[in-house]
Amino acid sequence: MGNSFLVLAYWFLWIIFMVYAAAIHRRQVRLEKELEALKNAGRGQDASGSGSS
Amino acid sequence: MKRNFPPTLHLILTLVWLCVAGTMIFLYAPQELTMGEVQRIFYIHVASAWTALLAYFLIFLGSVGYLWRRSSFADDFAHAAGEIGFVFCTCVLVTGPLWAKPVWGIWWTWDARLTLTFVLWLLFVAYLMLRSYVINPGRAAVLAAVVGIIGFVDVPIDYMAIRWWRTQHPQPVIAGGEGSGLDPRMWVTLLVTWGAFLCLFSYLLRQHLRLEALRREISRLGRSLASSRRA
Repeated sequence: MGNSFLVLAYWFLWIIFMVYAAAIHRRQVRLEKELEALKNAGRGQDASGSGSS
Repeated sequence: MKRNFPPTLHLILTLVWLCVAGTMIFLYAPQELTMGEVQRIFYIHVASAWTALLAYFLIFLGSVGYLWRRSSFADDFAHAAGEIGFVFCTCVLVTGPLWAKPVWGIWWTWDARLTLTFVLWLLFVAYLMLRSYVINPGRAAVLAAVVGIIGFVDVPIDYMAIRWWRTQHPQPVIAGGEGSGLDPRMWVTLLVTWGAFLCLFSYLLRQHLRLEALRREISRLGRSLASSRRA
């Protein structure tokens, strides 16, 4: 009986850290995309600004 | 740190160290006489607890740094330590009952150590909720820093609880005075496991700091775009 608690504890630890690391990675990818989109918007704005002047 | 130690290498080191710790826990550390195999939860339970206490100490340092210098890095550091500390503290609260049930016959009891650890977990939750729900970022940072500093009172009391009061939780085996102590192989295994957890903690911390840096960059760019549109 004790062994199943041991296995459960170690499984829980692995799963929680895998899920957390994956969550951080997912957030990073989303923010990087957002940053790239903002940079592109800035470049577009600069180009249209210089084109109109 | 970025230049000298690439994140991929850090991740590989963490995974290798965790594998070494796992191998030592199951193959090197001796079996405890009365509790048997289930006692091997001890290594991850204690290492998680020490890391969670350290994380709250880092929140405290970051909070003091933010209130003193208004340093955004100190605020990001405290925020990152809070989120990762919450994960480690959750591990303590899950692995503890999984060890307690076969050994004590109960999942939980409201003794001083367990209650104070639960309070520590609630402090992590309160800290993170404040950061999420207060809309003004400056105000959220100040309020979170105040919670981070006041809540730190729980850390030394939690650590000393098993020395000051009689508890269901075992008395300290480390620096617990006469009659306490660990088999040297258990000691080494515990320290290697804690080292692996610290390596994991530092890896997650730098990843979280990168997240915060990206957030700040996005907010800065967004503001400059909005102002140039207005102009």
